[in-house]
Amino acid sequence: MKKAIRIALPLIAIVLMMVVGCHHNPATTVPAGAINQFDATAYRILSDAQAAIEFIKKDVDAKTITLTDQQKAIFNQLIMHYNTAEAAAQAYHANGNGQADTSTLTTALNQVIADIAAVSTQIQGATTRQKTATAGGVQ
Amino acid sequence: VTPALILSLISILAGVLKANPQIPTQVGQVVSDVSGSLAVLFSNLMNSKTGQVRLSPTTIIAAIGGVIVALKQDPNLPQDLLAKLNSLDQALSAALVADKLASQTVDYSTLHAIAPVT
Repeated sequence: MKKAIRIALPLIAIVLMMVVGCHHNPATTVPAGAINQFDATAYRILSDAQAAIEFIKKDVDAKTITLTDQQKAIFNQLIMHYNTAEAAAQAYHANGNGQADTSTLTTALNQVIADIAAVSTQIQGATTRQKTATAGGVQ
Repeated sequence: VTPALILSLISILAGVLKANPQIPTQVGQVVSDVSGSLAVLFSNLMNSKTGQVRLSPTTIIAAIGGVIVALKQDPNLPQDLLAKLNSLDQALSAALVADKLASQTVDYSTLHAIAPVT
């Protein structure tokens, strides 16, 4: 199981990174329902993140994945910041005129992306420590 | 998110997969190949002066999905790992579906808060 986690968690980090962090598509037509491109991009980032987080959370809840306390704390931090960004996006969208301040939502979205990077860093550290321990005969 | 950061994450993925004794050599090669392709993609993105070469999340996710499919086909992998890979495969599919829908229609009523794990 631990080996499975060692393989799976980096994949999770990559999946989250890809679905949340790579929207470099140019602004062309604003999708239906959006008040402007910023509103649409925020929605897309959060929609992707929500889908990925919920699938991973389902596995954690079902104990398909067992997270260490540290990993759980980081994952919950990601969820917390997702929730903050989601609330900020809802408020921006509800404002309706596109004139609301974007800085709060931008900061919140960047925090979500930073959290995903933190997950990967934590995983990398765990992997490195494990390799060191194995090489030195210490478990 | 900088391409360099994404590249580093892919390196982590490739390193972990290739270093794991349960991963067959052939699959390790697939991981290396995919990593190399992604590196080219990112390089094109970073070096593009016109902005015409753009990173496609769909392409990247599909490439990672290919690695997962390759892993799932190995009969020697333990069941718990296979189950995890299945879940990740489903998570990828869900994310791709969500991304496609979100790129076409914005509906904020589909977004909601998520409870933390316990």
